[in-house]
Amino acid sequence: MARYDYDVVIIGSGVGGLTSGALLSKEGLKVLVLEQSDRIGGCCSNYNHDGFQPDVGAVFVIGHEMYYKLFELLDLRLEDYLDYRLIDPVYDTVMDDGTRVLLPRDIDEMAEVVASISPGDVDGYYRYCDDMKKIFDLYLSVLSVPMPALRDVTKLSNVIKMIARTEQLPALPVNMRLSTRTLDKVVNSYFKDDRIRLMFGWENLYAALPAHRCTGMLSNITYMGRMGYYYPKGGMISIPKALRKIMERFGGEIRFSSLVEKIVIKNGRAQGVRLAGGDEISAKAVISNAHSRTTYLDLVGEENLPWVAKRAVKNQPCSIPAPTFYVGLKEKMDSVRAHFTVLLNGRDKFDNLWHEFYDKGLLYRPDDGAFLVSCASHDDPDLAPEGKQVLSAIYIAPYNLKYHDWDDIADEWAWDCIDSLEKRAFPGLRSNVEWMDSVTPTELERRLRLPEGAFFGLEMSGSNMGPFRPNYRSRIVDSLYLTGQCTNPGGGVPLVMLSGIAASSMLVNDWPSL
Amino acid sequence: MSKKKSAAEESTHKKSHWKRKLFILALFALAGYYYGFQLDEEKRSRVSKLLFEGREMWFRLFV
Repeated sequence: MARYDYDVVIIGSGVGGLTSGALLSKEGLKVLVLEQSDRIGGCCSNYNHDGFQPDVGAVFVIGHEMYYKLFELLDLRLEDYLDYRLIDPVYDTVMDDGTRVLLPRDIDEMAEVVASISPGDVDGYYRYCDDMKKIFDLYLSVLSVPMPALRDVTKLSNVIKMIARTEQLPALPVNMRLSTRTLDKVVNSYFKDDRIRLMFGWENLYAALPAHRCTGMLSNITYMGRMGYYYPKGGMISIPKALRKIMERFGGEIRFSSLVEKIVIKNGRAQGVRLAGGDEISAKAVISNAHSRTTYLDLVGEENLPWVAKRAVKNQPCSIPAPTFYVGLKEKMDSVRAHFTVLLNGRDKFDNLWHEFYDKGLLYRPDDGAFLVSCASHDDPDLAPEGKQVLSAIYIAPYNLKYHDWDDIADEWAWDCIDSLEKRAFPGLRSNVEWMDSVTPTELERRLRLPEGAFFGLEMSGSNMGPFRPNYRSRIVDSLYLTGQCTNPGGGVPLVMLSGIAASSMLVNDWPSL
Repeated sequence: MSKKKSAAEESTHKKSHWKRKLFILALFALAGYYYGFQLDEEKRSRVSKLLFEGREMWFRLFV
């Protein structure tokens, strides 16, 4: 008779959990994924309200080359599971001075857009592209190395083999420059006009960090837009759906509406989980795809943590919340010209946003705010009922408001934002709304069990990365592994996939001694 | 006698050495304090965040 119910229990069916589930099932382990809700994906999921299916969390595929590496490890063809479409134009950008431009994917067409706004910045733009290309070529060369067996992925010799590339040499000076400067300084070194600077410097929102605290390496994201952002058919939830299908194909199981209350710990070793109803499921190892704060403070329990760990977990800052409101439209709007519309305020206001409103806990006027409006049905009309459209507007806002409670103002605030969007980009928006759902940071926290409603998990600043981010293999509880956006390399679908691969690789290596 | 004298000299020398170091340290602290008050609110908040992170990040190595 088996000593354990399962070899591995995975808490949470986010991309990290399902990546681990698929890889470990393929290795022949008996895997069970426990999902608290009735929907997979966590922060890469969707809602479905009468046919309106906006994305939750992740809104596009960047660095899709990394997805191929996962499928290489699984010995499967990505094309059999996912169908990507190129997003072009990349953004419809609306500035506060009324400038509204479609940003094309093509490098030379983009140069024309830059020239139309600030002719003096075209040289800087090409210099920027040359430098970023060196980094991008290095990235492609690293990914061109064939994937080793899962157990060898985290071996130092393999990591060195992947990183030590001849392409490092031309990229080295650029890499040094970018990694030792902040994003705002890097962008300012290429461009002179404030509007162009903002156009190339706002994507720090994807790391949920102010530009002055963000590594300059992030400036590469804007260039990657030129190499292609993609959108999967069926929406972003197609990615976790594909991983679930693969996991089940290899014999892994998933259970919905199974809220894990505690990780069962005996003699300092994780031995399974206890569900909210009181049922216990034993396992030789546990992988947590939950937020590190939830994992350690709630599931492991403060009583099992040494004071150093307790202090570290409690004081590790979460990234800035990215609350969202979703709207289903009665009719398609011509003013929605691209998959993404980005509404930016002035450079000063954008920089100030982080301090004035985030540090002080003040809610800004919607007209002063920056929004990323994503139209899922633009590239896949099946994501909205026929003839209709679905939008999601993502913005940043503090978790703790100084003068308000999010629950009291959720709808009122969202309608104010809708009025602002109507004024700035989409005439007639308010009267066209059929359905609206305002998901504030507190609501996000409840729905996804996500502390502070922070999609990116822990802050992705230097003091929270590398050895300062929670380890894949827990240093506190044996047989406990972590994956997801709170581990390295951080938030974002391909990065979370990497964390799933790394955690699985470590577990496979540890398996004989568990 | 000369040995005793040189030991006493050495100890005085060490004391004054430490005094000088402490004085320089105090000067730096004072300059930092003064500089801190000159900063606007946003910069002060950035500095305090950096100091907080610099103190707390080492605990994270144990998780």
